[in-house]
Amino acid sequence: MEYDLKGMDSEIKAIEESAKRLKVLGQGIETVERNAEAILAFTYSLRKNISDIFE
Amino acid sequence: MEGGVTVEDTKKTRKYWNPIIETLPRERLAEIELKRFREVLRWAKGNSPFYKRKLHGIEPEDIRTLEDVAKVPVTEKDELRAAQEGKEPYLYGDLLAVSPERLSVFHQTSGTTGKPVYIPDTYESWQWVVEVWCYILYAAGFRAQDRVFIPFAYNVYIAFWQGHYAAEKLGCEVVPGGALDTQGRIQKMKEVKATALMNTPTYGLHMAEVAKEMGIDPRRDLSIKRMISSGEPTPEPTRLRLEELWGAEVYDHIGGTEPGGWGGMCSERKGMHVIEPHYLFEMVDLETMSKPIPPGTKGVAVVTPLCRRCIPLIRFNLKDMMMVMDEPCRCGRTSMRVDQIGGRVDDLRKIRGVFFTPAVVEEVIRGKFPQVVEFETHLTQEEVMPVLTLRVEFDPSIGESQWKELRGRIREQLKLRSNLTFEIEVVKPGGLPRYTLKSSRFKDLTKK
Repeated sequence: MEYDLKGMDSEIKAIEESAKRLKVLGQGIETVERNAEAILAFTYSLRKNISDIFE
Repeated sequence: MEGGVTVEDTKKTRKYWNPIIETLPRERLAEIELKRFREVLRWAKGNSPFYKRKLHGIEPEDIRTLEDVAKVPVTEKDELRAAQEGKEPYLYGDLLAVSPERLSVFHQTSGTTGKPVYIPDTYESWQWVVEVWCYILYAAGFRAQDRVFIPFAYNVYIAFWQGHYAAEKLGCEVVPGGALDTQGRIQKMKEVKATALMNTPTYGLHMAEVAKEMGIDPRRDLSIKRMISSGEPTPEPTRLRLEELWGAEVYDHIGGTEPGGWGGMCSERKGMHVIEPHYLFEMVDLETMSKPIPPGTKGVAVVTPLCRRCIPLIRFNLKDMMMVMDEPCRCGRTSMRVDQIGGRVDDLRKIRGVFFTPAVVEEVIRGKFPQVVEFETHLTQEEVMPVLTLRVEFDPSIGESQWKELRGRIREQLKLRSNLTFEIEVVKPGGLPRYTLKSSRFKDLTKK
């Protein structure tokens, strides 16, 4: 069985989009903004580890 | 995948932190690195005033192949200092490529070669730096089951912070041993049954010496199975000596404050894998410091972190003398492997017409004279002649009757290896300084 790079890539992008939406929804609430920002930092690493390879 | 490594193998053995990247064909790694190099070039030109000036006239589109990368000028450490000195925003000046309110981490260089350079990170870039260190630790066999002891107060220096956060991310249990003396640290390691250690090679040797004085044999009485070296180079004889003293696998890694950790040893412990395609690694010749050189030739390392947007570095001259190893690694990783040889360009000097680097002394002493617990080289001037004196401290079990013979053998081996004659001076036990972070075993006393 091969690794499902396409599947992983699409999940990473979905998490990223979701974190961005969460950040907008939680604007003015530090805990939401900062935690959403932290999620985006981790999706950045995932993109560099997985998505960039797939593209 | 290359090297006969199958997906099923990697799932079963969990040998790699990222089995996809670490076994990519070299051609694919090169494609990704080229693409990322263009991206980081574009980012740096667009966001860092320093690079906007430095890279004027160079466009990312001009870099069509990895050979074209050599068209881009190398960045020197002195340029980083100048770009920060007296410039706004305070501390980071023209190097910064993000707005200051996004910064969350501060580190600085040790200042060994001049005024320290300040290197910040955003939360994003810091997580990337830590992620790269996960590759390094995982290749060195660190796993979630390990209890990792770090015998340092990390202060403003990056190495052990990276190691700490990466070990946490791997799932290890991290025990910070900062606010203790060496004896206290050894006791703590024993008490918690630490299985892995992050250390400077110098301090690893010193800890073993102190443990012995305490009646503790690290091989027998402690549980350390693996150690990763940081903070300073670990010549092969020193690495082997540490393995012998600790009864543990000792792994070297390479990195710095400016680029982050960019390479490390795998289970083969033969050279260090560059963490590709997170870094672009190049070798340039010693004479011009600009012409690319082929594998198997000694040269100077130049590295570009490809994903750190906060403070981009393009073709950073590490001033480390290295050689690219040509043959594929048995571990199955397809990344380039390098061997750190001969120390730093800054340390290279001509003495009596012969090129000399202090790294040679360490190789000889650690490789052939386990009787020596500490040493220090002094360069002085007598009339017009430069004089090299090696001050050695023997293990207390070595009687004075053996000193003369040992001195003779050390002198002979140093002559063979460096083509230079050394004066050998024996210092009484405890007479030489012990180091924890960066050692300073070479003193140029000819400088006023």
